[in-house]
Amino acid sequence: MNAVRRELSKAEVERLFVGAIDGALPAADARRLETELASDEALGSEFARYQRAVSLLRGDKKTKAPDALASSILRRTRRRRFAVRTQQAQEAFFSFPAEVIIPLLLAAVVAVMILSAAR
Amino acid sequence: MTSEAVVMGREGEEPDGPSPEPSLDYPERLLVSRLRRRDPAAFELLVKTHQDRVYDFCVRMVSDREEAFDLAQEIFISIHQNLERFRADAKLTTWIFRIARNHCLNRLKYLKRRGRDRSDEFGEANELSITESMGGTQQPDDLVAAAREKALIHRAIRELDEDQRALVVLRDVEGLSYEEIMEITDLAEGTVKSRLHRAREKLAGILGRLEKSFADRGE
Repeated sequence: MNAVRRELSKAEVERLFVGAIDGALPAADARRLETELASDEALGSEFARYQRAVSLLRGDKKTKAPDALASSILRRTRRRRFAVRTQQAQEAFFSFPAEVIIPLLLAAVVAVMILSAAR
Repeated sequence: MTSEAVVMGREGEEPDGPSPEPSLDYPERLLVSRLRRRDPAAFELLVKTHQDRVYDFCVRMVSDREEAFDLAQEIFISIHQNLERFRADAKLTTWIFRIARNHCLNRLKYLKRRGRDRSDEFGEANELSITESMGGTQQPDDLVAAAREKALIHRAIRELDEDQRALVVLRDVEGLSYEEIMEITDLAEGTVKSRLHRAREKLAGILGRLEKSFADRGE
């Protein structure tokens, strides 16, 4: 039996811990981690703390959204849709080309002048 | 502000025929096509389906329910504004979390810049409200222990830095896959695993310290 056990590098600890938590360690790695945890007390307690932190996160009850959230979002999107439509209508009105607007305005001025001269 | 928060990409194909009434198990592809047609009922379904997850994510990120309420609204408004930019080959949940994460990180930066870290200000109040909602010290021991555990984990998450917080919440609370987290964070798989490992190590250390200080105070 090899008397000098090679210590795990940081990268190996990371790979083994993450793999163990994901349940995705190959059998050989799982056996190796088991051996390391049994023989290295510090590593064993480190893994226990690590595992507990993850299980607390996974078991933590989620916070439900307040009832007012959905209605508030939908109200804001409705307002936004209305604002977009109003803006589009305004843009359509002001998007008449100058070649159309100017002769129309001139015609209106001439019509007013003719009418006032006729009186 | 929202442009960086969305996934750019190609348009999906629109199905023909009348659109059926949406339900919670409505196929995502059909829901997306109705969302792109600006169908208000489809957007309402999207909000109702995802609001709890988005809100919970925000609460954990900013540690403040008021701020989370505000943020969740901003996130869904941003989703509504950018529906055309949703990539057809991406998953809707992933896209939503990508926007949510970016909004939360931006808000945390903004709060820090203004020197108004509301997460600290309101964190204690949130923990108190959790304990109060469980009935304070009048409840049976297991309920008190559950409330204490919840307060403990929330406080520990708050002590992580923002990126680490997002990673542990996405993976260990939301249960997203590495592929989904890679898409949300734009990080490579190795980087995600490595940062997640460091975040969990740090969290384990914080939890140990907090538990000790709780025990010392006789809580």
